[in-house]
Amino acid sequence: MGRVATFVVGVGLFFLLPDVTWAGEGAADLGTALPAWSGLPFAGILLSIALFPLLAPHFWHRHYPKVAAFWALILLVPFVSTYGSPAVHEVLHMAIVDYIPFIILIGTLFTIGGGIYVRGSLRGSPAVNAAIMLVGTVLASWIGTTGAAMLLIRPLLRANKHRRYRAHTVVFFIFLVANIGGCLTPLGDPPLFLGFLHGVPFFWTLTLWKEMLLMAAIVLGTYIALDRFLWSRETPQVREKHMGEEKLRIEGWHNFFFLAGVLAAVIASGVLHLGEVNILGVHQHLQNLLRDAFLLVMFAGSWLTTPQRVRQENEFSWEPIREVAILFAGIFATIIPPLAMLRAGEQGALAFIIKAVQTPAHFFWATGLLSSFLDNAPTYLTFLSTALGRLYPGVPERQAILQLISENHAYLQAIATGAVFMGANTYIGNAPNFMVKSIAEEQGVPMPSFFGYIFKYTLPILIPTFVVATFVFFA
Amino acid sequence: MSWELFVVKGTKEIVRGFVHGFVWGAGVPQGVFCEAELDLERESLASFLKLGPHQRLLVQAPLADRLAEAIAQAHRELRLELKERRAVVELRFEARARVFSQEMAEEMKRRFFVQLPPGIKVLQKEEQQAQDNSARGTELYAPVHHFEYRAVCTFAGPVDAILPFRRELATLDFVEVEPIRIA
Repeated sequence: MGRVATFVVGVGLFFLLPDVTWAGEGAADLGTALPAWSGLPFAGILLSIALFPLLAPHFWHRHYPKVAAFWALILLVPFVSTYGSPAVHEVLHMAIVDYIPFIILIGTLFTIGGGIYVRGSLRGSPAVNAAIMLVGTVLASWIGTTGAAMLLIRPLLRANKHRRYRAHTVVFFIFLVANIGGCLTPLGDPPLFLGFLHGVPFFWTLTLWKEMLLMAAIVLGTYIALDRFLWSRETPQVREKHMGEEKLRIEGWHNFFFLAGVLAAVIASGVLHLGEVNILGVHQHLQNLLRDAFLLVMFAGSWLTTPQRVRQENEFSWEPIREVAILFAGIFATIIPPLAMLRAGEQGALAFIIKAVQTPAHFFWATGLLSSFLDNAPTYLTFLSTALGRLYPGVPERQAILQLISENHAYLQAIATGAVFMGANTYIGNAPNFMVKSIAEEQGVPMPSFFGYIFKYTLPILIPTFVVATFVFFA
Repeated sequence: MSWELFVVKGTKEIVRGFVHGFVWGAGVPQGVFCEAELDLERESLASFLKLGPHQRLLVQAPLADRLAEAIAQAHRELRLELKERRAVVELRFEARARVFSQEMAEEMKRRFFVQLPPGIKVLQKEEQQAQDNSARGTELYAPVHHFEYRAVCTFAGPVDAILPFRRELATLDFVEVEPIRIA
């Protein structure tokens, strides 16, 4: 009943917009007309995603679709009623250009990744653990951080099942494979794919190799030193040399071909220009539609050719995709006003953010700290729009992004690396973090609590590394 | 073996040093446990803040008279004073376990309820076990364990049994042990 009342009040507030006369001239005007608090549903859904799994996990597990629908409707109903056809256009644009391609890519990568299973066991020595981390860090950019984490977490846990000290290995796996490793291509991490959909060239993310190399070297080096120390404290029986009970082999390896297909399709959609089509008044590039169709073929190919046994071994289910589809529907719906306001630059109601965040270092830390607690994909888009609003207000987005890359490269680097790297700061910073924690706990690894993770690992290891990265790249 | 509780006035380091010398001299290294070696429940704000000048000792009964006499003799030089002395009936502590698989739950039940060392009894226990099949498998944004077992127990027993048992439980993953209460 309380939620219904809140919904009614929210709708009422929108209708009582003070002194807004809507001319209906397009997104730029929408950005100057919207009030700052039209961004509240966006903040509400991000905070819900961040806090409910910690404070009321069972409620959230059962009712997250209703919560997402609540935040989406509390924005959409008054937004569309007040602003009419331009608002409808913005919603359709978000759905056709961003949401549907995003879900198709995430779903395809998840289905392909879930069809690859690494069987067998290794000995969980520091060298083997470091090698798994390194492979995962490299793979993450090509099959996504979620895919790489899903592929390698179980072999890593099997390799370490006899060890007393295991929690640190899982935490560093979250740092490297579930986050840092995903920064080299738009396939690696959802924020980068959103950037790609908004006009960041596919190969631009490869320019982040220096940042990734520095971060990965420091974090992996720290892990190796720590794991060698803890290995020396294991019992002689654990340290005894043995190669595990079962030989290592990959099942469902043919899915790597589907993965190559995905990669080729995404690259092609960024390179080819086949014209535009009009869908419900929204211009969409033909090459993007072909890409999405091809991804669906790859998706179906993986699903039909991979034995169900392999997916069962991975505990594959559609639940993660259902979660992403539902929650990102809410995110993409509620993000429309904040993005429009930020793109309006100092003319918009969020000018205070644009004035506060000025240098690349500011963008790195602001994007990163918010990505630590909120989902990093919408956070990336928010700060990308902030940078565009600050540097190129009123310029069409795709053109502004190209100008940003050619004239103010460091801003985009700071936003991209802040969003990708600092998702590792907490369990809620990036979706695979919680998944890895949950799998590890079910396998008997005593993972640190939410604050234990921050105080034992993030503050002493990641934050100093980010400070170093700031001085090296963004000072 | 019966035990006594001594409350000795004096600084922690001096009491510890004195007790170490005493037990080695008496040839019974495990005859006295100082507060710092145990994890005793705080009894006052001063002791909680570690401000108090009083140290609690667990002393094997056959050594108690000799230790009391030694403390009395050291009073002038070390300013030690025996403020309280009483028999220890038993020690108690609470332990909590929370695990996320059936296999680990069985292990916890075995440790907590089946394979108890002689002399130790379970005074209070609370167990909760829940299974949610809708939460089975991988989840990204709404992660809930499909199985969860929780237990909270209060164990009681003689000093000789409780101390090693508590030490053993404290080494287990997913188990938290609370400080020891003296009864």
